[in-house]
Amino acid sequence: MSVGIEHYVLLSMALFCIGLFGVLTRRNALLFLMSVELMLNAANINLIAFSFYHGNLTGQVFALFTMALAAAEVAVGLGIILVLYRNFRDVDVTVPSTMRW
Amino acid sequence: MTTRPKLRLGKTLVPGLLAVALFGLMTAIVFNTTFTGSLQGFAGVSSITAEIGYALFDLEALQPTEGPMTNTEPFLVSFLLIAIVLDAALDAALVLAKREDEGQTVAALSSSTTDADPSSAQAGTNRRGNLGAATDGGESFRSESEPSADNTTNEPGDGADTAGSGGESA
Repeated sequence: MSVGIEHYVLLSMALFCIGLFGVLTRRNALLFLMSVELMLNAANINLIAFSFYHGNLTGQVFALFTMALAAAEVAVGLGIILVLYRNFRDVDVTVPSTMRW
Repeated sequence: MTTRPKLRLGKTLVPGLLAVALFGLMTAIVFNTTFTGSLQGFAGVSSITAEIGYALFDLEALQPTEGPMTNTEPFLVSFLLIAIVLDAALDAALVLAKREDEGQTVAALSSSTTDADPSSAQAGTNRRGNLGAATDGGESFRSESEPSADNTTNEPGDGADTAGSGGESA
């Protein structure tokens, strides 16, 4: 049995739903960030799988760009979590409820 | 003190059912979709990595003219834009990591010893040294002077107090 495109899509959907589960149920900001990364990597799997499916390298190049964007997002996200911990002594995402500085 | 992460069960997992339901829905959609054809793959391409490099930097002249990879889009502008975005993210992380101590901004990439001028550093040392001397002298002064004060003063209130403190120290 060969691995078809639908298996890649199912893997990507499972990864995306695991990330969505984490976003919906967790309150720790670090776990939040990890869950968002899972969802982003699900998109990467889709890009590369369909690049292989169509025999075109554009998806693979685009996945590289997505990884760079994920790195930028983690840099800013960790900075925000740092400020969150400095101001509230906690990384619970439900504690800061206003945009007051 | 370190705290380990705990798996919280109960009502907090209820919103997660939405994710499980979404997975079920998308699985049903995938199984009802007919993907025409099979995976084409990259047959006939000698090096996929080289082809990705050619696409990243607009090097069509180096790209082989035959084969399926000639239709990859150029991405040089996207590459430069992503480089700028990464630089901006680095700057944003540094700005976010900056903090203020007593009205002075303390950047993340600075050390306090080199930034402070020598006079203030000397003053800090003196202040710390005086504080240490005062603390030590205070201890010794209290322990030595209280019995002598007990001997010199004959007032009943003071005598009772110093006797009590002397009893504690003993």
